[in-house]
Amino acid sequence: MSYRSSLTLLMLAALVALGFGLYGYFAPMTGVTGVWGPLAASFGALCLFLGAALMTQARARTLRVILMTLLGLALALTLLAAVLLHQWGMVTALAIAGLGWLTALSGPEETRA
Amino acid sequence: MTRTLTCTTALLALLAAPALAQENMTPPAIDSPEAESPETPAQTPEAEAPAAETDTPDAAEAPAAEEGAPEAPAAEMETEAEPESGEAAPDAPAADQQAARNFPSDARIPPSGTDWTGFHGQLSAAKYSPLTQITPENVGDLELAWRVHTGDVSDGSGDLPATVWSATPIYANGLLYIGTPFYRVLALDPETGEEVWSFDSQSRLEALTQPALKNRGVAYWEAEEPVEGEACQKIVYLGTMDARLFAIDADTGEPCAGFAENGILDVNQWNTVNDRWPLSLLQPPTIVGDHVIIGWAGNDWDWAEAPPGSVFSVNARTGALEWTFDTIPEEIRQQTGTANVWTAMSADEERGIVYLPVASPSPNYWGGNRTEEIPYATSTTALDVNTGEVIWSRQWVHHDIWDYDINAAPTLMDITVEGEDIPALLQPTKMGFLFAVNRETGEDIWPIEERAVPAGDIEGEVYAPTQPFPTNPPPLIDQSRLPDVWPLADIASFGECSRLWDEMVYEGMYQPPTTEGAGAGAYPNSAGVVQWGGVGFDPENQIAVVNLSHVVQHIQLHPREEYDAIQGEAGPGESGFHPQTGAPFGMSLQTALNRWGMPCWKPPFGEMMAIDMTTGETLWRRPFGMSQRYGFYMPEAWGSPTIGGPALTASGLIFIGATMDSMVRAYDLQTGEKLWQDLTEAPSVSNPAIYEHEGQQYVAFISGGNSILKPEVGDMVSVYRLPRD
Repeated sequence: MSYRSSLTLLMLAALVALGFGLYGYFAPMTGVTGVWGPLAASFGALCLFLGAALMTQARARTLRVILMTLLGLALALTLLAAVLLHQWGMVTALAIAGLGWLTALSGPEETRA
Repeated sequence: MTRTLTCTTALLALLAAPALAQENMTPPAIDSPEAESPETPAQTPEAEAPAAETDTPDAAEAPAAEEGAPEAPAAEMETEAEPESGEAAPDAPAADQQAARNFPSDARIPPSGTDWTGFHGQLSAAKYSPLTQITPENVGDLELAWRVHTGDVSDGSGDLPATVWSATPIYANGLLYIGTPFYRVLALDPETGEEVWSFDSQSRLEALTQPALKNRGVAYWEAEEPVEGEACQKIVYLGTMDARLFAIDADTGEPCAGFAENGILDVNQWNTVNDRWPLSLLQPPTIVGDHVIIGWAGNDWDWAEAPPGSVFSVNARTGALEWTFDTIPEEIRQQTGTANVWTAMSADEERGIVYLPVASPSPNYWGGNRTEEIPYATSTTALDVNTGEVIWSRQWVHHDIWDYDINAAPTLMDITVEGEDIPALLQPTKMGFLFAVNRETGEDIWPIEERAVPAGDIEGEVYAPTQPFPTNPPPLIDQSRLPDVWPLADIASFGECSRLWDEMVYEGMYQPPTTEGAGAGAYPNSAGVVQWGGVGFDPENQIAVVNLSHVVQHIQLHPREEYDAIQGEAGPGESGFHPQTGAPFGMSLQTALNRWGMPCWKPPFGEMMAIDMTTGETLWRRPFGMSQRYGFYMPEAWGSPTIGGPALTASGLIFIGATMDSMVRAYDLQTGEKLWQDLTEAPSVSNPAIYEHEGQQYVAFISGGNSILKPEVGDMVSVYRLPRD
């Protein structure tokens, strides 16, 4: 998978995770309706999306390393939150986002060359 | 990202501080009376006779105190044939006629009927259904039959106070009757949930005596020999926060005009001493034969002088007062108060006995205004249901200064111990003791010992030198020491928990409140190891089931001037700061949490267990439910604090809600294995109801929530059944 495709996957999965998080907050009878836990997890998913979007524009290697590190941290914490919230749809989406993050670790093709 | 980190921190900031507080919490402490069989002659008042007042309990009813235990002074009981207002009670049936009725006893094996006619299913408070359609093998197939929202809910964010709804549905007369925290009654089709009729008491929706609008359901009565074509041969009773008892025709939802004043009994007419607040009728009355037996709730944590405890029996048809039982000796009623009965009672109809779980006197944490003996306070007291006279009484806490209210109906059970069949009573308590006595006499089944307990350091206070300790069944928790500090909470708070442990004074569960340090460690405490859900009992296997909580709190007294300067706020339930107005000390009750809201004590926070009542041995015990805060679920191995209780079936199932996670669950009675669960809107903080309607077995849960567990409240009724073929 190409670097750009990996980041695209990460962004899409983060958006889906965001949707699940907001659903958990707003929909009735999710077990987490109306409490801020799912909002916090949703914010984490939003950060993932924005971070991945920034990654697509990052050219400097140092910046990419910093962003990838922060993305990895955000991914882990958001995933943990989703697990503890029992929002299994969000967990699945974040697992897919994790796949995107892993494949993006290798960096853009021009860097590899 | 910052938000995400915050979120992770929140994962750790788990449990809601279960500052469990009830309508009046009191801790149980028993004196180990050599239960002498009651020799007091039961005086049966003639209905026509003018109100008679009978001095009652003296050491004869209050079981003889053992060495070291204070003597039980006489308290007073009134037996009345006429209401105090002087109005005649023309239709009140003669008490001796009542006594002549042949009551079936549902405390015996097998229990009678497949209806669920009271708060605890049966008057025995066994919470046991003989139904067997739903079994451990098929319970996993349960499906939702119907679910309704009553609309009677408030989270407290608007004009209305928050609601706390702990009702158990009543199944009787082919309908499901439900009381709501807006003081309405709904009669629903048990199969579909469709409304058949509703009744609105138009009660003021003000939290007059409680932190919230509360309701624990309705009570049901039907005439033994109904008159054809006449209304109100079956009646539903609803109590309100402002002390009114409504009688409603169970068929039509119309008020019963023949009951009191057009269907409304003003119970507050009998609130004549320290009437600082109304006698709130939050717990439905207990119906025994044609007697409607009424206890009440109040606000005893804020006042030193409060309404003194009383229980009223009124005629089911007319509302005429039959007798009054006062829990506090007349000569000291003015200077103290409460020792009321705010939770459910149980009754042995065959023997004509009603059992009262009596709360602690006022104020909760200082007793310098009540140094005299109050033998019925924090007791189980057995009354003749026809006269209100005391048959026996066991005090479970002497000079209660811990708010150890007896907070659940005792469970009646017939058990076989060492080959002897015993009509028993098991009294669960906030302290985590299960007191087992003979329900005819109040005598110990297994020895209940008076043991020395620590004294305190508050000038003017008196301290009971001993308290009762049952030797079997064993205590539900180890109350001799505080639980270990939870390293996770301690590390997360940079040692805050360890410091708190060092600052608390604690020499066991009867550590008196103090002004020193962080106050007296309270484990157990007002929150209660067992709550009003009480103990379930399977009469076939003689197994008792109980859910319990582990909560550490600390109680601190503050001299009046210091208290006034602090101006601390009240917390959920009875936690936080309370003035104890009229006492020289205000007080604070805090749950032992770190700065992140994490419990400082090691899990589990809640458990469920089964006990073999022939031996008192524990059959199984396991963490129960999931704690939850801000939506984050903690591992099941940590358990959840619980409010609510179980219901059992003859097929070997336990149904229960009660946990913070808003789940309702089914367990295998024999093994404790979880077999089924479903998510509801809010914690189900009552007992489920189990009933059969047109050949189908149903299990009904009310999810009303309680801010003590977590802020989310609900108005949901969920009813389950097996799929139809």
